[in-house]
Amino acid sequence: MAPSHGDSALASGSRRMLLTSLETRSTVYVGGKGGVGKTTVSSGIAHALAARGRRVLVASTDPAHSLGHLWRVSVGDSPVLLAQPQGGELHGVELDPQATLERHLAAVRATMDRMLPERMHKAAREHLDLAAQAPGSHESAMLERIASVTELTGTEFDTVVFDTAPTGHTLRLLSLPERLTGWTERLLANRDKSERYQAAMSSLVTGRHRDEPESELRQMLHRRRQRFAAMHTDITDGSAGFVAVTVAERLPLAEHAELVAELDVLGIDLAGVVVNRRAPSESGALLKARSALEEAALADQPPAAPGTPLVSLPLMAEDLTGAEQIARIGSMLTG
Amino acid sequence: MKTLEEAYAGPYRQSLARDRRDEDDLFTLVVLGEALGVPDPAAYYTMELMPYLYQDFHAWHRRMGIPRSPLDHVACC
Amino acid sequence: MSSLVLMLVGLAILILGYVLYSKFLARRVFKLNEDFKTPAHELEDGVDYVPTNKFILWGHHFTSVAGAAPIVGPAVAIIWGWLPAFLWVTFGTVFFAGMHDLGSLWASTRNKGRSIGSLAARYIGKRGAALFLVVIFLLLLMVIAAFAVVITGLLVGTPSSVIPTWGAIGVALLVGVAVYKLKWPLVPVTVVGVVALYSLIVLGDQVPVILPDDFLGIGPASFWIITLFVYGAIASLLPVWILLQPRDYINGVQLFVGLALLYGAVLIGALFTASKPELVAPMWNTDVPAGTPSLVPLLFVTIACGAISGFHGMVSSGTSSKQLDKETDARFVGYFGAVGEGLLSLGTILAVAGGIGSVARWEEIYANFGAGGVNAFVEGGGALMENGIGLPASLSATVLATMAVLFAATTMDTGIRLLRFVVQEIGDAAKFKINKVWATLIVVAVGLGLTFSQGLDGDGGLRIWPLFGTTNQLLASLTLSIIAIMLIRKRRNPLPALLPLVLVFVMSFWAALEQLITFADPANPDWLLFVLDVVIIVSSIWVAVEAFIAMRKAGRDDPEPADADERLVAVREDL
Repeated sequence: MAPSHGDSALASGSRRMLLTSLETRSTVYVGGKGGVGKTTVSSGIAHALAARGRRVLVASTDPAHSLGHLWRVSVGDSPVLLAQPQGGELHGVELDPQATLERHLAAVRATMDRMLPERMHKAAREHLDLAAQAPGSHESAMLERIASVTELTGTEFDTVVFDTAPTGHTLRLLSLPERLTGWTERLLANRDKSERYQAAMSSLVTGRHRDEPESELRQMLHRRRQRFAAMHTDITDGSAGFVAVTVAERLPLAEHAELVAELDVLGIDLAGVVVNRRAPSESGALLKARSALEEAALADQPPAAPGTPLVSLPLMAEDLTGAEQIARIGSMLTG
Repeated sequence: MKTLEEAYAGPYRQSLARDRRDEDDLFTLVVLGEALGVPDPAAYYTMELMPYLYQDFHAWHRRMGIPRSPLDHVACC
Repeated sequence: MSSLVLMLVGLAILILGYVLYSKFLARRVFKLNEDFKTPAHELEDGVDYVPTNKFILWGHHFTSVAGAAPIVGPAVAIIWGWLPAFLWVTFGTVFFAGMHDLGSLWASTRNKGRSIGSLAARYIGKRGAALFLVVIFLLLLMVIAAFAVVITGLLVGTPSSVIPTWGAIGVALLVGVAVYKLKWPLVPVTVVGVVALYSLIVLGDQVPVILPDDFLGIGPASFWIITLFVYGAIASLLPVWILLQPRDYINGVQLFVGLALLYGAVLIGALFTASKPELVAPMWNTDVPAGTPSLVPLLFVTIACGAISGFHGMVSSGTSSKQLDKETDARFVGYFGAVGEGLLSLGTILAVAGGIGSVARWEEIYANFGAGGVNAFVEGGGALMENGIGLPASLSATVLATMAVLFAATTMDTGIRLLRFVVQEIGDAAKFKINKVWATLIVVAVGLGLTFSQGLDGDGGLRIWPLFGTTNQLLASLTLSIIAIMLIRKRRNPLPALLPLVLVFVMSFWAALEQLITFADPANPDWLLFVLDVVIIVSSIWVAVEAFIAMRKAGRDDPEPADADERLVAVREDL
């Protein structure tokens, strides 16, 4: 059970670094390749933070939710209390974008009904349903949901820990605010131009033109831009940190390296790296051989740059579900 | 007098109106892109702009050289 | 002979043409129908399709079609004497241009306001549309080269026009900014703009800009040509409302002012002054300078605009047909628009035949073919105005030169803009994306090459001019073919379109052949124009074959039902 670094003083130093790094964040994203143990690590981190007296929410954004399975309780789209360690609180939620999408559709429908003549309602609604099924719509709804959960920090919770979907999905999702800010700005620029032409046209004869009140359309675009910009700030201003989870094998380590590089491009802080399920070197020939392979892979592909907290979790024989086990993982990560 | 001034301003107004319409057409294209089969990364957000466009939709698709409504469910002609 | 008599006879022919022949065309040939729902109503969109009062539409139409070409053509062609030019301008306007402009307006109106290009596709077929593109390309290419030479000639020949010419562009830009950014009302802004322009003319008259012969090592002519193309490239890339639109207003005012001054000067001069303006040019020049091509067929391509011009069909079909309130308005807008341009050409004839001081001076100016041109118009017109209304000759010349330069510059940058679209379209067809800056650079490079190939030592003159006219007539032939095909399909009398078609086509084809020989002249060859001429000859044969096939087919097919045009599916097109 000793960390495979073989140097337990160094390892405990890293764990304290990880804890320090996480304690300053209001949001923590936990991500990595599918199946590396993101849900376990995120709940462990959340528990460790709660154990220091904080109110913590662990939120699963992976459509294939496993938070409930991990805690062996039923978790849904609204937070439920999972544990209350040492005066802190740990809540869990499995985000369901479908509900968000439907609320959004309902709002758009209401606007349509208000703005369009009666005879067009049916056609417009059918068209709307089609748009709702567009591939990006589900993703955007998840983004909205993440943003609304993020807004809970500082009021209901001190920290939100996101248990994210596998790497590709998560990176796309995190890059959305920036891309959508650009998208909204282009549309606004387009509206600006169109309205400038309109103003010049209406003033051709009289030289006077009324400053039209900002149209509903532009108000909406303005609100959107502010929201996207705020989301972008939320994930890049240092209040958010990303914990990348991997296992010490060559393929996952390669994907991990890409994730780290991409986070840097997106301007998201890498708060720490967790190498999960390290094989112990002293438990039989098979595991010893694996341990040596892992050491070699880690030496070839170092998962974290110097200075980034790097914590290893050993391969364990127990079934890691339930509150007790999660508490144990939490202290192994940070203690 | 008013009419004469309007007539005088006509060609100028027309050239401004053309450029304005180009901007509006681009906007429509972006917003309705998904429905026309152009993948739209922001479909979720564009759908809330659609109500503002339906009113001009008929003129737009004819301008784009599409004689009938390209949206299966918007039977405007 | 008195200039006044010529003017009055000319006016009488034009007015009679409008009163009698256009009435015949409107009632018997095109059968204009007041109840026909015009595209302006059917497709009204407040932008392109707007029902417009016929007098206002005429103003827009006329100012769009009238430019420098109806001045240059007669000013060159007067070398054969004033009578041939006069007859071709007046009868050409009545039986050719008026018919062509009215006909193309009618044809487009009957086709939902579509352009000649799409009419060619509908009535002649896919190849017809391709042919149209080729002819347009050649026409635009030649117009930018020809007008670059014309403007350069004016800037060098009338140095007092340098300041108002470039100043006018600045004034137009300021008008554009005032309207677009500052939202000032258009009428006072353009009034101020025009006042500013005429102040610049006065200033220019005091401060002529004469560039030294070794200016920048390339000489003034080359310098002006390069400057013009740089200007044209920039102007063609700007949004229209910032420079082109305001300049169109200034040009429009200048057109009416110029016409009023010319005709007023002749009238007042003849009635109230001691020195009545007399024609100094020979009536029929039997002693043309060596190297002058024969009158037939070259007269008919030297004067294109002013007698018949394919260019008008593009304005008729692209713009005016979308604004026609009633179909019956086409007679006034289309036919009288042509009459307006005929007036400009007639005014030019009066200036170059009657304004030049003496027979000796006239012979000096017209020492060889293409030498007189628009500079003779400036000199003659200036003298007429001094005599008639007392405006000093140099100031009058500056007014006219500036007017001609601005007309030509407008056509030039519009030509560069349109050519850019054609280049991009050709690029698209070749699966090769060309952005607008590169497309403009390609156009400018080709245009500059064509301009410089003509030799700028002065005696080369306007060799390209008749070839430009030939191409213009080729376009007119294409349009007339379409009109004739439509008439045949409706089982109406096609002769009013067919007879001009045959004459214009034969003359321009013949002229193209004659020019081929000149361009290959071993003493003074011009291989670039030679190649262009070959392309034009091939295109001409192609036009003739396609038109013939389409007409025969139209004659054999069942007649078109009476409501065929109404049933046409309304599809908009915007070029």
